[in-house]
Order: sequence, then structure tokens, then C-alpha cells
Amino acid sequence: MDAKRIIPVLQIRAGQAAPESPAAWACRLEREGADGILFQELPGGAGGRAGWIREVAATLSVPFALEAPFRDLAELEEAMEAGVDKVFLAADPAVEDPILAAAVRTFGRVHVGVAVDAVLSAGSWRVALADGEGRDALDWMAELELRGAGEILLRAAPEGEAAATLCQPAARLALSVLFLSSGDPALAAEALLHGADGVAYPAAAGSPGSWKATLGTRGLALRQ
Amino acid sequence: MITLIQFGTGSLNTLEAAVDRMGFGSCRAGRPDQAAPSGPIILTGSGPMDPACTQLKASGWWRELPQLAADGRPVLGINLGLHLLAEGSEESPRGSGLGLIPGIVRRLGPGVKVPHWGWSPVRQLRDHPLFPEILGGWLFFAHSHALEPTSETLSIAVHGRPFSVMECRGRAVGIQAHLEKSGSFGLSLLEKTLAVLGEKPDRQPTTGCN
Repeated sequence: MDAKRIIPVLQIRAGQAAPESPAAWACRLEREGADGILFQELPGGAGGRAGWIREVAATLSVPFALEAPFRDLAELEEAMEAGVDKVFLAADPAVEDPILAAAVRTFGRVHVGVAVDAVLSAGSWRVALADGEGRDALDWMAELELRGAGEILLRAAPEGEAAATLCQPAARLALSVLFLSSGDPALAAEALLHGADGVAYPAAAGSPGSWKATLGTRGLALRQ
Repeated sequence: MITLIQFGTGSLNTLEAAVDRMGFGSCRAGRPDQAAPSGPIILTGSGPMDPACTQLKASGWWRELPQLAADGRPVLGINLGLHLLAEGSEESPRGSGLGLIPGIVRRLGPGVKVPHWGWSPVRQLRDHPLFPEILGGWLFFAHSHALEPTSETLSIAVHGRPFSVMECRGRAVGIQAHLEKSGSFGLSLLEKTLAVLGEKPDRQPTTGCN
């Protein structure tokens, strides 16, 4: 059985993950037991993207992914060529997304994931949009699977036992689910116990080793 | 010196840096005439198989690699590289593989998540006089297809059903896992594999994250 992946998240602004370089911080997290790193690029942070990705790729020996507001396939090609292992795209359920289809065709679904924000509203999980709520979140994830996404990066509000009611049916989809935690391992454990394949959490919320120590007490399979 | 075959959109940066830290020399070769005069040839990659075959045929590698292997040159296929070294793949049913490693590559599943992206424990099936024993290590996998194990397979992992992790036929070695992405255990296995293929470091290793 696969280990549940424990993935610290580093936010990137203008090619930096203050207070350290992305490569130095990610390297420390690898030594502390991270099963991978998720970089999240903040708006306006695309400057120097290929440079820091190349540095991270030449340093790490665990996989790393990038969630960023990619504008076109050329930006994705640049990130993949520099060495990122997976990209997470933001797809709008209301719009046919040409980048997702092109990315899957070019790199294969193994390297392409989609971020989904879900919110519990009146007893059902909906896609959270900037201007309100969208369609049923589970239906949207099922459609993303058909469109070729290889993984879902799932934010769910609220977390904890409530999120388990979304993770459980999502786990029946034939693509993996990486649950994006706000930083509480006790809440993240509910997602993992109910089918999420891994958890991504803010790196400032504890070392991967400490997260594994906490999650290990819940009987989860983890890489030591 | 190690030759890294360059093709497609995948990146060689991590593997190149890993072998560099171990003290091995390497060069990238988009065409066979850019290969080092001796030493192992590594074919690595991931993603769709058909474009990879097209690019390797266009660059001449598809024709030259079996000949180099027949002449005794060590060849290491990693992930998609292993699939390309096999006899064929369900992913590319109209074509054939390079045939350096027996067996057919099949799609993972049904009933499991595909792609398989994660860390799996590896189990050794057979001893090999040269390869070290794999003692319960975890390796990182990123794939939708895998080679079916045979009685000659050295080690396996399980994703719904067992799949081949490591094959060795003469001087052709195939490994499904991304060793360069599998932490200190993967790096150690990569180093030992390169040693089995006759490559020696030409300088002192330097430390990475591990």
C-alpha cells in the first residue's frame, strides 16, 4: 500500500520563499522527512520562475509540484523543462479550459493536476468561486477526471469531520486527492483517514517529521 | 562517462544533478553522435509514449541504442525509459519497443487510481549476483503503465496488482521508480546500479539534501 504523502507548502513571491531561498528551505524539509514539496506562487510571483525551479530540481531528491496562475502552455513548458514534476492549474468550472487539455496532451496526466476549492453550503459541497458558490464539487472533480487531470489539490471549508464527507466519495474517483490543510494535523488526519492520498500543509505549521509523528498515532501508513 | 539521452519535454536536471553529486561525470546527448565514447547510457522520461518514440526515431537513438547494447554498452531505462526498453506497450499498441528487456507494459488498474503517483514499498523477488538486496525500501513512482513481472523480475511493488520495479538482462537494466526522486534510498540504489553497470565516480561526491 502507498504511504500517505506529507507535503509541506512553500509560498513563492518574486522567486523567493522568505526567509530562505526556495531550494535551501525545500532541502531542509526533505531532510526532515517531506515526501515532496508543493510550491504556491503568489500573484505577481512569476518573475524568475525557471531559475528557482532549476535550482530546486538540482537540489531536491523528492518530487515537487507548483501551483501557479499559468497563463498559457508556454509557461507550463518552461516550468516542466526547468524540472518541476507536476503543475496544478486553476480551472474555472464555468469556462472550457484550453490549457488543461493542452497540458494533458503534452505532458501526460501524470504531471497535471487541478486545484479545487470546495465549501460546504446547506449540506452539500459546492465549488467555491471568487463571487460565490458554483456547481456541485464532487461532480466537478468527476468531470476533471474525464478531462484528464491526474490529481486534485482539494481545499475544503470547513476541514475536519465535515471534510471527510467530501473526501470519502472523492476517494472513489480514479485519480488521487491531495488535501490542502490549513495547518492542523488533527483536522488533516480526518481527510487522510477518509480517502485523501496525501496532505499539503503550510511549512510553517511544523516539520514533516512532527506531522508524521502526530498522524502515525492515527494508524496511517507513512514513509519513515 | 554517463550519457543522458535528451528528448521530449521532460527535464534531466534532477537526475543530472544527482549523478554529479555522486561524483560521476555525465553528458547530455540529443543524438547518438553526441554520446560519450563509453559508459552507461541512461534513457529516462515520463509522460506519453508515442511522442517519445517519434522523437527517439527522429534523433537516431531508436536505431542506435539496440546496436550499442548488442556491442556491450550498458543501458539503464528509468520509468518511461523502462517501457521503451521493453518489447511493447499497451500505450502504443501499433508500435513495438526496443526489445532489450522482455515483457509487455500494461496499463495499471482497473480499480486503482491512475496515474499512480506516490511512495510504495518495494519487495525483492530474486537475488542477483551484482545487485544489492533491497530491504524494505520506499521508492517514488509516477506512472500510468508498468511492466508485468516475470520469473526473471528482480523486484516488484504493488498498485492494485504487482508490477515490475527492477529488471536486469545482461547489461540492460530497467527501473520503474524515479530513483533520483526517491530520497536517500533511491539515490543509494542509483549509485549501486551505476556501479553494477561499470561506472566509477571520477571525483569526490558532494552532499545534497541527504
